Parts: sequence; structure tokens; C-alpha cells
Amino acid sequence: MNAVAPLLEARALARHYTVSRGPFKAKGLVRALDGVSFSVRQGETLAIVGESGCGKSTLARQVTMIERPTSGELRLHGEDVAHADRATLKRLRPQVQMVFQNPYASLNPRKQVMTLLGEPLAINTDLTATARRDAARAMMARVGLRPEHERRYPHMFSGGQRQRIAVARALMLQPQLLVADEPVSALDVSIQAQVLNLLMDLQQDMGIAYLFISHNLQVVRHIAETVAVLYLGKIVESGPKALLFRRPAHPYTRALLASTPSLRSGKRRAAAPSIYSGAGGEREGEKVTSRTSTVLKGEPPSPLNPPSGCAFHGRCPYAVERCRVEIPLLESFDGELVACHRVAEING
Amino acid sequence: MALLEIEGLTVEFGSVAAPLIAVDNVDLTMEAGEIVGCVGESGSGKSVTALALMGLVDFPGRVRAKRMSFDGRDLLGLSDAGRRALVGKDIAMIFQDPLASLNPCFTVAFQLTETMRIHGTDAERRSAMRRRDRALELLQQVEIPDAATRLAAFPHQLSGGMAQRVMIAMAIACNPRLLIADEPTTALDVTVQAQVLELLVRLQHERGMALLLITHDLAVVAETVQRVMVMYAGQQVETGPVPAIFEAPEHPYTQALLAALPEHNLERSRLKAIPGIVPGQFDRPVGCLLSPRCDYALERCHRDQPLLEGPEGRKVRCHFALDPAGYPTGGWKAELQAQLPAETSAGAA
Repeated sequence: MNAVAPLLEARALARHYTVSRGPFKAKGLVRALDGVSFSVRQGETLAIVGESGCGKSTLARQVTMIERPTSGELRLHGEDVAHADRATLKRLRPQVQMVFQNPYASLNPRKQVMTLLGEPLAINTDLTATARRDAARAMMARVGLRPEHERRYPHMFSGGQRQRIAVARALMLQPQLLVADEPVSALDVSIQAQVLNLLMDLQQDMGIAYLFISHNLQVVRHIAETVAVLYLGKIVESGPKALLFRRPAHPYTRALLASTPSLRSGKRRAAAPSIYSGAGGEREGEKVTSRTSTVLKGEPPSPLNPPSGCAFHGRCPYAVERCRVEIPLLESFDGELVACHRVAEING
Repeated sequence: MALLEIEGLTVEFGSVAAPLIAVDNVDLTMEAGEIVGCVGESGSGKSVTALALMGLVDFPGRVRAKRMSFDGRDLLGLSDAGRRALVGKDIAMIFQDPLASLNPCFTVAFQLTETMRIHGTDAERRSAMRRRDRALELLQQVEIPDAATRLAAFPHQLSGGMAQRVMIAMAIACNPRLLIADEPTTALDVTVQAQVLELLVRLQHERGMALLLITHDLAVVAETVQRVMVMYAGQQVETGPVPAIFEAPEHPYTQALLAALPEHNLERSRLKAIPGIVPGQFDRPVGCLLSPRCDYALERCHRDQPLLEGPEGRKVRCHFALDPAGYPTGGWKAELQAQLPAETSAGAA
């Protein structure tokens, strides 16, 4: 491993929002992102995993410099982004581009593909119209759109093709980092595979780094090198993908993996009385118990009113008194970083 | 006798001359207490099948079927009043987006008791107290914490998972014999999805309901159902028991769908994507609907539409159904060879 400075580095990054809870009431404080540290190297994929409300999208807004973090450090190529002035931000922003979840909503329906793709160049560079058009055509070919598509409008495309347009638009400025916020969740399985392939090919050819935000662990497992699991604004576990999937250390990561439907398990079906199989009652009983112990109770708590101590203690099967009081720190454990008081006991 | 029998269900929209065929000749039989899955990509006709079953396809949609009966009663010739007596009571349905299907202007208690006021037992119809007690009991059954206070809540005060539980409570309020769940967990997080599926299967088990689970997620189907039908562009392409159908798919589409899942591919390798998109109203192929996207398509596939054939419970719509090793049968190789020289000579000329 060479000691190259990471492309993007965040240290104790936090973003809090104040929200009104109605007249005559004190304003609430939502700690959407609360002390998150991570780094992304050139050409690498970091996946951020978590349920809705855990701060995934807030993270994306900080990294893309749409918002300024409340506190903490964010460095792009070693340059401080959190406290940069407007001119610096304007210079840095083209290096980080974004692809959104819903390609039906993220493309302007009144603009043709050629206009959509040329727009980033028109705003950020001083290329001539001809040069912009050539660049857009080259990019269309690169992402698998045909030349006759350039005069068409977004509504004339299928979901997968629209996501290709969105990716092409994000790549027009040749960014170093692409933030992909749930890029395949709105797509069908067969189309999802096409878009994932495209993202992997582009990474190989252009050496872009991805910050891949997703709730789908199967997709993350396929595309990422490093994974960070987010729960209520904090990272609870992060580490190399192979390790994290083979031996999830944090109880939340374990629960996430256990909840993810898999083709191979058939766990729930075994629990139901099958009219096709009469025998095997005892085996079925066993499956029921093993299953219920892995399903999490309850739902993620509200970030407006987070629990004391470890945010996960209310749903955690291993929670003890200490978890209710003391906030666990993200500490290294067996090649990973885990925030859990009892990590050694649980994985012992 | 089967609980639900559907034969040759076809649903069309648009003009008679050039109709959009949303559902094309679908057969479905369900026994009491059975979990059947219906899986397919968007636009494959999964939801419209369920809506047609519930009698919810409005003009200008046209529903035709050779036979459609529930518990021996004919659903096609049912009067509006007869249908209203059946739907919501014996057949209930839950939808994808719970917060969009609950009325934002009324409390949970009101919406829960409304079903009972119309379809409930005599005692429930007479006494509001009785209905309220029952509503509380239902919320407890669907494992809503602090059920008593939730009764007075409005839908916007509920989380997605909680709202879906309320929908399930509404659906089971009148002890339906068939529950249709249309993408019940698509809008939910994975941990909540696991809870809701668990709940549905438990209720199905306890009450002996039949459950039709409509979803696009193959893994959810693989974990939950006993029998599945795979749909493509409005047609059933394969039906069969789980897990056999996933272990040895006989239709190229099922095979390709499974191959496209990241779970089935080596990490960081290219996924086996299905080229192209689902055909729409105007580019419906003449032959097999999958033929433009199929790896194995030959001339016959582009020309003739295959029929859904096979033994009872394991049918497939393909000229060259795949063998357990995943290779096409039915003289595919011979036909390919017969086709090849013709093509090369045509190319040379």
C-alpha cells in the first residue's frame, strides 16, 4: 500500500439542523450527522449503508459542498472544504459530482439530452459550443447512449437509460469523486445490473472514486471495497467489505445482514405451514426460533429525540446498563472500526 | 375445491383497435391457506392482475376471463352490491405505499372501525364500543407498541412501518380468506421489511388465510412463498414451487433475472444484465415477448408465440424450456444449426 493522501477525508464531520416544533415550543435540534470520520482514496468505492433517517443523504450534501458542515473537518485533496470561501468552493465543486436516486425526477423534462449534458460545461468551463457538443457526444457513446438520442427529451427514455443520462451528466466535468445516492433503487433488477455494470466499467476506465450510498446490502457487497454502516448519524461499523460481510461485528450490522432477503435461505417459508410438506415439524419449529431472534424489534428512533447512551440500545439484543448511559466510541476491533461496548464479548 | 380460480384473465386499456394488453391470459388457482408469490418487473401486469381480481379496474379498462371465481362464487357476473359485500370482507388487499393509502383526514381508530361498521359481525355493526375494542385488539395483533394511544393518531404521525401495520390490521379486521399484498414492503427499510413479512406470514399461519404476495423482489419471494408465478409483459412465463423454480429455472427470463442479481455473481465481476427493456404498447413482438432480449432466441421464437405448457404446478412458456443444467431443450441445437448456414449464405450473397 502506498501512502498517498486520500482523495476525500472527513474527520468528526457533523451537521445539525434546527427545526421548529410549533409555536411556543423550543426549537428542536436534529443531529443528522454527528461526528463521522472516513476517507476515500483515488479510484476506490466507499459504500455508506443505513436505513432511512440515518443521515446518508445529509452526508452526501456535505461531501458535494451543497451545505456547510456544522463542525468537523472535510478535506478534498488535503484542501479544507468546511471553511473554504465561495471562490474556493466554486473551484472545488466540479471535482465532486452526484447521481441521484430517481432518474424520473432528477432530469429536467424540458431539456434535450444534448442540452442536459452540455450544461455543466457551459456553466463551469469556457469551452465553445462546438467543443461542448463534441464532449457530450463522446460521453454519450461512453455510457451506451446512441447518437440519435441527443435530440430526445427525458420522457422518451426508460428508467435505465435515464440513469445513464444522469451518470453521463455527472461525469461531464471529469470529477474525481462521484457521489451516488441510491443510484439503482428505483430500477428493476435487469436494469439495475446494466447500471451497476456501467458504474464499474467507468471506474475502471476513468479511475473515479465512488461514494456509494445505498440501503441494499447485496448491491453494496458487489460494488464496494470499503463499507461504513451508519445509524442515527453515527458510524457504528466500518471496514473492508470482505471482513464486514464475513464477520459483521456490530449487532446492528448483524441485524441488517440477517434482515436482507436472500435467495438461498428460505427461512420464512419454512416457518409457514406448507401444504406440500407434512413432515419435518421439529425442524420447522427450530427455524422459527432462530429466525425471530435475528429480526430486530422496533424501528429506528427519531433523530429529534435520540436515546441516551448508544443510539441502538433500544433495539439491541445485547444491550446492558452501560449501553443506556455511555456513548460507545468507534474503536478498532480485528481490522475494523466498531462502536459497541460489548463488541469483544459478542464476537468472542 | 380451490378457493380462488382464475382462467384466461385478460385486461386491456385504450382503444379496441389498438389495445394496451396489461394482463394477457393469466391463470391462477389458489387453495385456502396457501402463500403464492407473483413476481415480475415493473409493467409486467402484477398489480393489474390483483386489481382485476378485486374488481377495481375502472373504465376504460376491460376485464375479460373465461372463469373467475372465489369460493365457488362467480366474480365476473357479480353485481356491484355483491362485489362490495365480498371485497374488504372475504378478499382484502394491502398496497405498496401505506401513507398514500390511508386517509390523512381521519384517525387510525376511525379508519379501522369503518371496515367493521360495513362488513363486521352483527355485534360489531351495532356497538361502537365493541368496534373500538376490536380495533385495539387488532393493533395489538399487528404488534404496534402502545396501541391504545395510536388509535387516536392521524396517519402523518405514523412511521412507514407503523402505517403498513395499520393497513394490515384494516385488511384482517373482517377475517378475510384471501389477502392480496401488493408490494407490501417495497417502501420500507430492510429491518422493518423483515418485521412486516414475518407478521404477514404469522397472521397467514394463525388464520389460515390464503396470501397472494406481489413483489418485484425475487429474494423476498424465495424466502416467503410456496408457489410462484413469474410474469413478463403481462404474461405468465413460468409457474412452479419454490425453491425448485429458483434452483432450476426453466424459462430463460427467470434464469436471466436470477443471473442479474448481485447475489448470484462473484464480487466485483460484471453482472449478467438483460439487454433492452420490457416491450411497450407499440413494440410488442410478434412471437415470444422475450425474444428480442433472450439469449437463446431463434427464428421460431421471433415468429410463433409459445404457450404456457407443462405438468400441473410447473408450467413454462417457452419453445425451448431449459433443462436443470440451464441449457435449452426441445431440439434447440438442431434448429440453431439449421438456421446458421442459411444466415451465412445470406450474408455472403
